[in-house]
Amino acid sequence: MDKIRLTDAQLKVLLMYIEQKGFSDPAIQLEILDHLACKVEEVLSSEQISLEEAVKKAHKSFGVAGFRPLAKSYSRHIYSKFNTWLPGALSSILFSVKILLPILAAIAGIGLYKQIYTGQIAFSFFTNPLNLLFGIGVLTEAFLLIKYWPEMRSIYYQGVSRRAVAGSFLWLFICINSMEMLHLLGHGLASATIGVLSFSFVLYLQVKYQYVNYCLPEIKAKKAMTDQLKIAS
Amino acid sequence: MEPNKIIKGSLSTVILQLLQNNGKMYGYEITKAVRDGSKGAMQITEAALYPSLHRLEADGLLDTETLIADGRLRKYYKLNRAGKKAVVLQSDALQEAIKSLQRVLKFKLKHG
Repeated sequence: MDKIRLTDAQLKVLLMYIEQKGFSDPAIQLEILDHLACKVEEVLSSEQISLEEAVKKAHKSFGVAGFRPLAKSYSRHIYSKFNTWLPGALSSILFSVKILLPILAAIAGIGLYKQIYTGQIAFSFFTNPLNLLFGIGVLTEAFLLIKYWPEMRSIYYQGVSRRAVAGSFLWLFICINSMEMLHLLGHGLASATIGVLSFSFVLYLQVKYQYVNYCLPEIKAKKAMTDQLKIAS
Repeated sequence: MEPNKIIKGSLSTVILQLLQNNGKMYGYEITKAVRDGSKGAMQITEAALYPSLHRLEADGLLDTETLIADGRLRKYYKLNRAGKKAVVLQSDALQEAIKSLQRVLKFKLKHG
């Protein structure tokens, strides 16, 4: 029998089958899809059975654990790849002009403001550079959170979210220790709570943005392929 | 003992050698090559293959290339410079291990 090549509609059936088995991440789906499709094509080339029966037979040949070992191995591989990539990415973001320049400008502006308006306690909250940074962090966080909300559940966030939590505690320690005046300590603690989360989350989303767009170009191709297969009739 | 259990410890060497012989290959192609090359006597499961491939890639011995083939995305694996060096070393080590095993299997203690 001639070698069979699955059509887009048939590949869509396989994709739905993989999703039914509990693998909803597009990247993992596409890792599994090609191998499953090759097996299905081999079965259909040698046996006169339906596509559904061929898919079940091919899935059975993966063993008792099914797709799980492949998916688990791929997730671990991505996390490991991310760990290798992360230090360079973080330093390139933290020391980039886009980040450093606004922060330095804000600190300089606050310092100048404080110089001019010394003694006006009502504005003391805003004269503390750290408090202003936290405010910038909150606004940036809100913007990026809205922008990237649909992609939050991807496996690629798992590694970054752990660092965000660890970073939060470190930043809290730094912020509390930098407060000099007692009456500002209350502001500091309140804004530090927001700032801790804001700073970590801003970093977290920026790293994600860099990772998705610059470090793993295949992700886009995979997402496009998944979308294309899902709308195939 | 089944041949598969013997090959398990040499899987990375087998993968590297196949890639050396065939250029770039994708996952299913590697399993098929082992099955066809051994005339069905040996098979690699997906649960063994993909962790090995990912490990070899993490060790810096393989490069990957994702292309569209047969209407879907397919990841090809190929040896890089470090991988080509490693395949020679690992292959030699495996050959040496096989010779040593053969000697051990033929060995008889001298009594008296």
